[in-house]
Amino acid sequence: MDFKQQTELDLVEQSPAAVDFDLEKLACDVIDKSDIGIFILGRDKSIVCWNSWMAQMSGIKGDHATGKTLEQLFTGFSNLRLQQAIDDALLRGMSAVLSQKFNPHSLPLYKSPEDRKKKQLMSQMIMVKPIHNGGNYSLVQVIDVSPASARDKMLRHQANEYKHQELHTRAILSSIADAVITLDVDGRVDYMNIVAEKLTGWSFQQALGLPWDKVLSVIDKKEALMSEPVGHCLQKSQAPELGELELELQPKSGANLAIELSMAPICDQNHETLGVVAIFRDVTNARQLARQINWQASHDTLTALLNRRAFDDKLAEMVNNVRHQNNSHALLYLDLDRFKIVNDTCGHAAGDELLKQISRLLAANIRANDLLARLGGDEFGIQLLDCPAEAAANIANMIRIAIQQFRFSWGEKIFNIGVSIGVVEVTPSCESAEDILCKADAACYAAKKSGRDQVHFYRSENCAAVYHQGEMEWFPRIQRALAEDRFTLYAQKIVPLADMNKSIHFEILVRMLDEDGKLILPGEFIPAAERFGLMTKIDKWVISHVFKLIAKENTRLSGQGYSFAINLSGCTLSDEQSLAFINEQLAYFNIPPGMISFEITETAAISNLSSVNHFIRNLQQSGCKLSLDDFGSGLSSFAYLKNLPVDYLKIDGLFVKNMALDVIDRAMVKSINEIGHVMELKTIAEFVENDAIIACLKEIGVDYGQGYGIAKPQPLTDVNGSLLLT
Amino acid sequence: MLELTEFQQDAVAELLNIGMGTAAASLSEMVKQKVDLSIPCVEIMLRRHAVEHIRDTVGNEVTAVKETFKGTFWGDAFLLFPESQSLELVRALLQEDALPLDMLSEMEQEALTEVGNIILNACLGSLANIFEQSFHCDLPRYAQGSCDIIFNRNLAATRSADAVLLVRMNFSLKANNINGLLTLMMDVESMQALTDLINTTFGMID
Amino acid sequence: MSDNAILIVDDSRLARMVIKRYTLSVHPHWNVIEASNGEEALEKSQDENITWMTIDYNMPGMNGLTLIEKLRQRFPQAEIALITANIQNNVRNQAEELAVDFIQKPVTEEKIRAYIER
Repeated sequence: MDFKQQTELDLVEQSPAAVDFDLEKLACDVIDKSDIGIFILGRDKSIVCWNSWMAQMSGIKGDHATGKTLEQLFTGFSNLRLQQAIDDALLRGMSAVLSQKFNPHSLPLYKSPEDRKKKQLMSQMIMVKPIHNGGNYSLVQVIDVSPASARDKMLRHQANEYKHQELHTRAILSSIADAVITLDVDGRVDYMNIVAEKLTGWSFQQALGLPWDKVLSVIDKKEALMSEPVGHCLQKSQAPELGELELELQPKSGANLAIELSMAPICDQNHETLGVVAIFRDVTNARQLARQINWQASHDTLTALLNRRAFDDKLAEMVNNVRHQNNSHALLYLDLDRFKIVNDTCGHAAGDELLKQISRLLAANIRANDLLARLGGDEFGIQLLDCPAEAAANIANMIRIAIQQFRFSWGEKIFNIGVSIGVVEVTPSCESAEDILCKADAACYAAKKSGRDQVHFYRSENCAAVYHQGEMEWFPRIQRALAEDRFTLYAQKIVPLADMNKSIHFEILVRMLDEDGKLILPGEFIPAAERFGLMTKIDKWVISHVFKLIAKENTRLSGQGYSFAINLSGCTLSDEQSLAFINEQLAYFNIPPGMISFEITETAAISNLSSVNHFIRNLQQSGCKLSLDDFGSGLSSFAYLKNLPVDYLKIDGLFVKNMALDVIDRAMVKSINEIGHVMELKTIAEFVENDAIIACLKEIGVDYGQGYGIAKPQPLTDVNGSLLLT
Repeated sequence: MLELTEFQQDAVAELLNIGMGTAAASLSEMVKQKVDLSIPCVEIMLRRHAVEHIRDTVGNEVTAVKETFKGTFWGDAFLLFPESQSLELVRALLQEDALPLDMLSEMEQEALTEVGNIILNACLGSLANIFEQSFHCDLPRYAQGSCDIIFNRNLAATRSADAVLLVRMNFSLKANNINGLLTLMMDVESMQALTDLINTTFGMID
Repeated sequence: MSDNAILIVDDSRLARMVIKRYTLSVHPHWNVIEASNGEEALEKSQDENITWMTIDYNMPGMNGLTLIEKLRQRFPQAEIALITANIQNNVRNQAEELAVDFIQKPVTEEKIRAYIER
């Protein structure tokens, strides 16, 4: 601008000097040499100026054009808009613009003779301006906008092409069965197909522009992805490795879906990354099927334990490993005793049910790392890892006892089952898995042969070495004590914590007397008595002796609210004959209702819930109360409690003992007490050892207390055989 | 401050009404739909406030076509659209497939300039007819940007005075949901020339 | 002829003035009633016997066409003209439907004369 002004000034200053200089002629030259079309119309609309550009493009020379109107110049010319614009300029001094869009070819102009031949009119933009110069003129400027018009056309064409391509791509994407989401360079969603909408639960509208991980929320085996696949795509322009992962998609709502996901960068021709495409499919069914097939191939469908094949594989692995390691493992081979009786008398359904229950029992008696399998029929195998011979023998024995104590009830029938177990050490000297299994089988066979319910240890010398358990000696001792009536009764007071001087409730405790009259505490003989099936006899002994004493002192006891709690073992509970015995004894001794309560342990109760339930209700009908003993030792029993119609809840002493010092134990007691009260049961705390505990229990609101801090157990009768009720 | 008599105010409004009626008819023909017009509004105010008034009607970001007119009275005539709607308008006018671009292409800008030119000329032309006077109108200019930039840059700065006469009228194309504004902005001197002209043309006030 | 009354409704005083001036120059004895909007027109014409009327289209309140419908019921015999700057086809068509004359603003002596001398 400055430069231009400078030039003009120069011209003006120089003009007087240059005699020949004619500004008007210069102006005419400028107009004539312009690269745009310029023509001027007078008031009568006749042309007064027509520059060479106009002459060239119209094919009409300047001297031919001047003096004529546009209508005269171009035959058939009629352009209302241009004519109006010219009129407005001439008559009213208005300027006008005629754009190419609205008036593409106002004048019949051609860029070249070729165009003229092809009748290819020039794209033009026209400006009309008024000039007042001793009269009104109209200046018309014509600009060739073909290049701009072509650019515009191309832009439009490209846009159309792009739109078309995109529509085409989207049509393909929406018709394929896989879910597709495309992301922009920022990892935001810019497209998703219908399948992707369905799987993610997001509609395209909602998801558009959201960060990808919000819409495609993926976890790998319940955990977040280790690496960020979209970032990988965008930064490295490489597809991430996702094939090995077991991915799950968390949809907007509903359950997770197993998916197979692949991602790839989207690049243009110059290898610029434009975004990411994620393709995924729902493989929930396929993955479930694969899992099911795998599972079935390695498991026994009835018991859900490992099957023979899987067991053999694992054993081979174990044999292989043991050669490189210094640990020793063991293998147990189990064969159930008396299984055939169940199968034969009650049918296969009963046999199947028994196998299931035994499986659970076995599983409960081994360690977490051990492997349990059903080898076929009523045979089971257990691999004990990192387990020396001695420990293996112990575990085998525990299993034997657990199965021996187990009672299987089917309808009205109750069965005792046993097991014969063969034990083999797995050492580096072992030959093969087959060899070990063979030896275990042989040891098991030996156990069966020597009278069932046995554990046999395989010894290379002979296969008959019986492993004797230390408790065996107890069996004859207890039997003799029963035969010789060498038991005696003790009692421990249970007092209401609100009135601790009241002594009318007692728990009956049993002691065994040695041959020389020494007291044997229950902790010593009861576990053995349970193992050898002698507890029911002991329970019956206690029941008849207590009832007899009560009957004897009927007058002294009646109407005073006295009550006596007698413990019943698990075996007694599952024995229909025991129930008949108790009822018969109640009637025989004419025991007043409410005077007897029975204590059953939580463990005994839940091991045979339905028969215990029957037992409890029957005894309650006979006027007895029921307590659930040692409650809390197995927390699962909270749920069982609802199904056990007992009257008292005895809180496990282990919690009570430390409750004054341990906040967790205290909280346990509190919550057991609350649950008991909600179920309208009276609560009794055992192991009340001191005043601090008493204070805690009172604060919590436990109903009764029992323990050394209240009263020690004392003989039930005095030297004269009368009840000691203090 | 200088004031217009009620009659003068009424007369200016009526003149714009007549001009706009012609302009709206041209626009209506071009877009092939009805154009709704508001009652014209005539006010003397500070230029600053005038810009604020305009901003309140069409928003801060606008597309404008401006014509400067010179004659017995002078000033700037503006046709204004909210920037977001100018694209709509051009597409409605051209009935072409939309470009997937946010901006008007150069050819589309030119087309919009022509539309503005037709409307402004219809309006100014009818004023010229009534007063039997001729104007000298510059070529229309297209501008896009904030109100501040457009009005500070485009106002006839040499004749600037704080007070201006703002004559405005809204119009809308319901079918395309487009609202526009036509304004004339004159400085005080020009306004006085206009009122003189009104008095001589329409005689005394009865 | 002297008992003719003309109702001029226009929000612009200028417009009313011009129409009145041209009318009186042809019929100096006509009774001229002016109103600046529809409501005022209905009120002022209540006790008059209007024979001619010129109604503006673009006014605050009710528009000219609505007003014409109301006045037509009151003065079924009156000659009515819609005078407007809004010359869009839709307005023209509506005027045609109501069978009223259409006069394009600006008002000139010729246009008024042509209307009232029919």
